[in-house]
Amino acid sequence: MAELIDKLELRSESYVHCISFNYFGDRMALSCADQSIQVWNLEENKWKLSAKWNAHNGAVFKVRWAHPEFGTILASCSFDKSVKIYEENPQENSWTLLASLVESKEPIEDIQFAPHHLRLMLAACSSNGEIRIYEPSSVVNLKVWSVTKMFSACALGSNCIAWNPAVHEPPMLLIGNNDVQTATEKFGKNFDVDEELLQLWAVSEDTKEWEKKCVPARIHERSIVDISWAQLMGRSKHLVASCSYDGIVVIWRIDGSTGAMESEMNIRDDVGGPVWRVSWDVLGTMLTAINGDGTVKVWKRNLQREWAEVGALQNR
Amino acid sequence: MEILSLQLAINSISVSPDAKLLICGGREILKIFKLENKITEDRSLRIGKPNLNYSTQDLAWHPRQSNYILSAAKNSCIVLWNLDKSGPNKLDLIFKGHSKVVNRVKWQHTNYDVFVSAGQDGMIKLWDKRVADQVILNLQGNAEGARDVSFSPFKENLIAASFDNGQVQIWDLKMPNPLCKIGAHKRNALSIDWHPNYADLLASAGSDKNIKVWNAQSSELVCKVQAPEPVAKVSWVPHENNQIASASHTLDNNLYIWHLNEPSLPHFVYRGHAHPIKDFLWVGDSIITCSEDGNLIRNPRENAYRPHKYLAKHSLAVSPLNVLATYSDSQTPSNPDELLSQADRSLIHHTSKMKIYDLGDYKTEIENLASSYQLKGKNVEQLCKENAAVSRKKAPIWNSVEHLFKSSYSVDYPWINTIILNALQETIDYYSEIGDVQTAACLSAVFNYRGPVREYGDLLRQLNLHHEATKLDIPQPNVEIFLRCKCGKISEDQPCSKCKDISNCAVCNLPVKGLYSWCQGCCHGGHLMHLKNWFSRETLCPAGCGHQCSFENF
Repeated sequence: MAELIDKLELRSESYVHCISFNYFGDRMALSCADQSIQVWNLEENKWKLSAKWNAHNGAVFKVRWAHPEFGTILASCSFDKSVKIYEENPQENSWTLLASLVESKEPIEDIQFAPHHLRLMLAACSSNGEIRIYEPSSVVNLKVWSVTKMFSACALGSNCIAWNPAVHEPPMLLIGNNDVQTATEKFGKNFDVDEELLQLWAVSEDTKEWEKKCVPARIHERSIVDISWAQLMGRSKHLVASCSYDGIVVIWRIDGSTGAMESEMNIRDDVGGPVWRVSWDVLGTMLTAINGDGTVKVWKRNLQREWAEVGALQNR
Repeated sequence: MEILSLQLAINSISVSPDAKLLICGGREILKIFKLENKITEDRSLRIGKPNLNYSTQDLAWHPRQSNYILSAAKNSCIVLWNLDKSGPNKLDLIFKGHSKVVNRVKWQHTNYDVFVSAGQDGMIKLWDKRVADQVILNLQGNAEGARDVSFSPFKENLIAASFDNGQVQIWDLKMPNPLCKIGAHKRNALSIDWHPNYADLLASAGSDKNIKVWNAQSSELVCKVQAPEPVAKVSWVPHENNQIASASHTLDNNLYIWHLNEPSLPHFVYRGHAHPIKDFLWVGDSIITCSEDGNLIRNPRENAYRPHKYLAKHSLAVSPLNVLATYSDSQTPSNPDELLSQADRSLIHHTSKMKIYDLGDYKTEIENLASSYQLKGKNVEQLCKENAAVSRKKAPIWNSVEHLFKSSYSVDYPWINTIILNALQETIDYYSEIGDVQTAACLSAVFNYRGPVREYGDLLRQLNLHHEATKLDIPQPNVEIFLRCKCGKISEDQPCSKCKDISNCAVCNLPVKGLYSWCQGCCHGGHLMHLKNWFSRETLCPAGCGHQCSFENF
């Protein structure tokens, strides 16, 4: 089902928190706990390190590629409370810092570029639950970015975000939040009320402001760690996967017009630890997830159109 | 977590030798508290009229003689308090000598009468607590204001001091000049601390957000930690050889504990203050912090936020080429008591590996079908027949839709017709639903039905199948292909020198940064490589204008 084709020696002192492929899948960016970003290129079926640089003043949590329409652009976010925008100098395999966005007072947990049909936009999610939408002053000058919209999603803090990729629907963001236990540990004060773990926000067609559109049933019991929103590919409803600190993976169906969310599959990992990452393939036919002991699980639809685990890769 | 609100900004705290009493000092406060199950007020040392001598910058309780406390006052004096003194006012002696505010006072560990002070006037002064107004020794740092000073716990004559110009200086009290001057920080070096168990190891921190560990003997940097904001105070964590605590100078209200093996992310974070933490210390199993916000907070040591706990140690991603990349933490945990040099650390972490898996090559199949499928130019039945012929796997569906379509005009009942046409739409939707976007899009293109043609086109472009993508009729209202720039200027430079806009490549639809090649005949163009590939197989213009370009024209 899955064949091991390559092993990469990282020469890094620490964890890789995030792996991100570019639009074509021939380049890979890694964000590392040692403040660095690494870019690897696929050359003649082998992955080769193209660039590695010290990008932040703290662990780099996430790194993302912009659509190639906007140039070769990477955005990264970090414990150091900043978002940085880098552009490649193609001749030298080096990356230039275009902008450093420092509006947040807390570490930035996740960033995501909007689907390219919307224009060049970046959503950033601070650990205190503030969501900021950044836009450059113009497509040819990516050195100046400003916050065009900002809202507070959850007082307990947010961990991850995902854009609705569909073209004919208003901009939507799914936001994954902390539970009370995590928030109490994280912020050192007591929160009494549990809030929504997942929230779907959308730009209202009337007011043009971000509004909470839907809160799904509570299936996860702990903080959400990662969300992956599959490409629509003509489906009637969106496929979205979320995973949480207690090891639960949920596949949601989202109705793009009403924003209604229903779960289609939920599985608790038997290891008991967190499931750290979920990722759809391009077609939305296969979901992969990696859990607390590094095991990768793969789900596909079977002939009864139910989601079934088709394999597990021991990753150690 | 226990919070005691004192309402007044606190600059410094110090604990009595028996760890039962705590003194708290600030501009308008100087109070002693009992550390019991609860923190309770014992007494205030401010007696009588407000006096600048009471305005406290730093405090040092004597490490052995529990009746003596030193306070550095804002008015450049150092005050010795004797709690055993008779009468209500415990102020014993005042030491005058600095010309500006005194930033730090510290007792000698071995000689009970000697203490040292660091002043904003740049002087380090050594005093005897029995003799007021008489400096034993003056050390001139020549490095602007002195921020911190500390006796080595191992060598009684060795002191380290940090200065506003970023220097850390090591002095032997028997020598007239410093043993070494380390250019430790780019801006003010605000704090230093000797390692309690390793002779010669010294931590320093400053406004440049760096915490650095030095070998004082060789002046070599041992390792570096990056704090999120300028660091006002550092201290080694008791009983933890590899951990350093830091409080920020501005903008940040947390106390961070850093593990030297993980210098980019704090090991523990203590939160709860509304303003930056000015001072902190450990008493038994708890940690006490004080802040400008007027609060004193006592936390059990384990009551900390551990950022690592909530950060992914494993990661994965699936690429558009259906390749799975995984990262799994395979570090061998180092011995926590071992203080490692930077070189050793990189050896330990060298093992982290990423694995790349192939999840099945769907690109080749999509590419083969995309190049052989016929989508227009003939009648529907013929298209279906030909498509069934080129796709062995998908042939049944092409055959059945062909029959379905044929039967729709061979019957006379319109309602049957409707059912058949609905069945066609349902077939397309079914293929969309199971993720077979190619079949769904091609069916909808042939029958001119609703379907994911645009998504399919995007997928083809993503897979670098630009020729196949241009075969689809995808309305792209947002993409304009210009023969000349929108502003009217004909320009070979990209972006246009007049309006700074970028033209897109007619083949891949992405903007051309750099050389833009275009046909002299129809003026469409794009990336040179894309055009070259295009015209190796085609003769008509990729923009669809119908012009018969010849590549030599470019």
